[in-house]
Amino acid sequence: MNGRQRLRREDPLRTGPIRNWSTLYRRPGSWDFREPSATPMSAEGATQRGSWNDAVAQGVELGYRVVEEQIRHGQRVAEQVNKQSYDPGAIGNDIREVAERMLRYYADLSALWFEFLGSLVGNTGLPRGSLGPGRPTSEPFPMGGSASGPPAVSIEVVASRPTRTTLDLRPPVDGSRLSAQDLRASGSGKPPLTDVAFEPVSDGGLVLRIRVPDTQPPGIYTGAVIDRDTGQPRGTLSVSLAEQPESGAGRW
Amino acid sequence: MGFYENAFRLLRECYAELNRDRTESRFADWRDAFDPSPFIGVADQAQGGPWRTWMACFPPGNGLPGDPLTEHNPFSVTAYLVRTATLLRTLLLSCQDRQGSRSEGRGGAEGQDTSSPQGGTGFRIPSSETVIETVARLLKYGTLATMAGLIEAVGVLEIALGAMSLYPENVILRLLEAIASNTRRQLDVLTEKGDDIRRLWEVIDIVLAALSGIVRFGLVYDPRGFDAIDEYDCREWLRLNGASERSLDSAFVRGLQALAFAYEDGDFRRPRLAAGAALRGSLRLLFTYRGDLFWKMRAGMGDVVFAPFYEVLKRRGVSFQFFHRLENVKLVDPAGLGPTERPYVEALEFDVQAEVSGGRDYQPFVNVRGRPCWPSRPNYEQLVDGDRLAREGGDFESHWDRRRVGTKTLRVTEDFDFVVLGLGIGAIPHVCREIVARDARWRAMVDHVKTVATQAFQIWMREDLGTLGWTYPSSSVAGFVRPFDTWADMHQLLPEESWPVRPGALAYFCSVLPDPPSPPQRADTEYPARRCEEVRGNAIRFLNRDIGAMWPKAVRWPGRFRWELLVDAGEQQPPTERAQADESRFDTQFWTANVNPSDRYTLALPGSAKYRISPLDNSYDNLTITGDWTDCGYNSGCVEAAVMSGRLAAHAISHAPPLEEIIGYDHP
Repeated sequence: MNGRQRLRREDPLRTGPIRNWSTLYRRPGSWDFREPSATPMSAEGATQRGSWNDAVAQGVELGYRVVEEQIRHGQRVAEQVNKQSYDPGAIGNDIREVAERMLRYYADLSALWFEFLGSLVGNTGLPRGSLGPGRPTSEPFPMGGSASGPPAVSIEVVASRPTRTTLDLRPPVDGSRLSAQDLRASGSGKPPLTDVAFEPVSDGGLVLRIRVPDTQPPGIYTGAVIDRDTGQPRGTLSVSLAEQPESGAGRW
Repeated sequence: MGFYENAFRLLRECYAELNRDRTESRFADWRDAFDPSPFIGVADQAQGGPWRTWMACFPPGNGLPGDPLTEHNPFSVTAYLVRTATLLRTLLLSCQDRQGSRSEGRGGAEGQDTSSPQGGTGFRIPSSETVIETVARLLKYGTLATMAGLIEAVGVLEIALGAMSLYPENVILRLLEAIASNTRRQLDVLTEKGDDIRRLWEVIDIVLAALSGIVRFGLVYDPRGFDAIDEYDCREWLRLNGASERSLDSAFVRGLQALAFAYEDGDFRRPRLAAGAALRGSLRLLFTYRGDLFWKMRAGMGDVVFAPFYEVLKRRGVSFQFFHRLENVKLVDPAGLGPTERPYVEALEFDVQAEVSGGRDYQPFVNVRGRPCWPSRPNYEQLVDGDRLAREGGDFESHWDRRRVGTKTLRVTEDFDFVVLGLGIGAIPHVCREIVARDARWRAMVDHVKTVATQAFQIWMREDLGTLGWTYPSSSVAGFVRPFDTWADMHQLLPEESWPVRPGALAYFCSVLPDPPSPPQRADTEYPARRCEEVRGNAIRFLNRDIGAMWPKAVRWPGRFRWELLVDAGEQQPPTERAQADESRFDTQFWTANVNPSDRYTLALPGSAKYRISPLDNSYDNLTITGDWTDCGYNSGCVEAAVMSGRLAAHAISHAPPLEEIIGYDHP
């Protein structure tokens, strides 16, 4: 052996896969492809893909994404607490902010989840209360929409009836890469809102444009806002459509 | 396969880095090199009847394998359960259609339209009490005895499985068992109604048993995931969960076993496959493929996979040394280790099989129609004494070929820092003798992670398969007559081969090759040739006796293959008279016995997974292992497992890629 020192491997953080329940804490329908329609043995028995399945999967997916992101954020804050000085002023706000967000998103998730259950169970005549507690819908922001944190986002909604739009972005946000997924309703059979887009404007900000077809059924349509390049969730977007249509187009 | 996410991602990155000129290369992009193949068939023989092929066309899944994933981990048991229940309901609907009983089956006990829970008549996310009530109603009124009742029940099941935490497991199990017992009752009756219905019900029976087993064995919450049932053989586990003997012996199950070469020691009487590995593989296969279920290479694997990898690595500055046979992985003397120092590899000892003339770099490719191809024999003209070596006609890749012109030893810190051992596990006892002698874990691994020899042949024919009587699309078929129970139409390769007149068909056949009672000695240099001759005999018998069931016009009469169909690459004129062609013409085709220790296929036997060692294991300070035989998260013999293992080995020595980027590593 020559005089050079032998290199050594660092110990791995783990030596096996994670197979436990924590993998359940992911999006059940998150595989980014259309379900193979489960007709391997016959084309004759082909059925329509279940819209209820999609709606529930979308809702749960959204919830998992948001909660997961919050957990990661919480972990980052915890790391800061460990690494940085114990200046209560410097850390307290961040922790408080995360705690508030966690509470809000858990509440939103449960509301969303129970809204799905509630609307789907409506046909059976079951009392909604049998599904557990929860608010019927999540409306944390005032009518007309709200944008939090940079960049500045204005919202334009073209619709023939009153709408309520809630946009919640969480930093870090790169406005040039924001993308909104289709907004889906919790009830079965409702088509998603697909004409939703972020567009840059000359002052460096963003405009969120939403066009609601006249034939769109009423309901609450929700979807994730993601970073187009990384696929990471960057927030949520919700549009409530009123039951009774009114004349004229609303534009904000 | 369409779910080989890691393999396709790596290959796509390779082709992108290669950046071949499209005007000069037919395989400039990875999509040029692969054809989607949605058809797969299983061969089935009704009692005493002829063989029939049951063909399935899998619809395309969104995206392409290797596309970026938007999430860290898309796999969960619950998602699989829901999709499996959806599959179950679709199969039932298919049965209903085939029976023509939709109208007679309508109307459950309460007169509802229950033919399709997704059909727009109202969906249910019932409470626990409602599920119990529904089950009670279905049972009480005997509704489950009808097809519509079963479909309704599976609709409820599908919803309940999707929100399992809302319901007690015993409710779901009770429903499952009620569905299963009624299904099996119908199965006995329906077998008289025709092969199609019978096959569907056999699949339904297996799916029901798998669902019951997942719930009954608590796999949703078990921290071991599907590993929790790896001690069971998959047939035994399905039997425990109610699968009928008829279904366990069905073409569907035989086909899956054949695809996995799941016969211990190559003995067809001993089908064995770990239940966890089988379940994980089946769920990945059925529910996570993208693009198409199968992707067939448009040229040899050496040409569309290994040649591009070689080119990219060469460009990156990797040094390749051909014709070196690893003989010993030498460990440091434990007496010389410090108190906290782990053992490490001190030297690698090689036999040098041949030297390259002039000390130049060996150029491994041959040119076929302008494309760099990996040849089936060395480029002897580049080797010292190349003419003699060519005349000897040995096989440098053979375990039994002991020729050498010298030896070479690589030493730690002088020639290497880390060792990535990428051999087949069959070779480990031969080259890692010291480790196996010292280390009980390695001894247990080589004892329990078993391999099997395989046999294969390929034939080129003048006429296309349609002309020969094959009435299905281009496909792969499993579960046919042994010993060649799996075959594939590979006609897509023909345009890439050098033929003066292009053949009409190309087909590959493969299967396991039974092992002798005791393993061959290394001194038995004739062993590979004997096994090859055995394969040749098997292939000739198979073509004469069995292939007529698939290609009726490929036989002159039962028991006699039309040997003149085979294309001889060296022939100027094809045979015009029948007398010219006999079975000796098979000698112009390709066949092989994969008996080299490193070539053998790794089995996933029940109870063997716990003996596998991970590439992340750091018992030896500078050594990591890689291959589909390691504990790589997807413990089945396949390309995807090999790539996952390779990425784990890379992580072990460099911490890159992050484990979270190895798709499917963290999987139930």
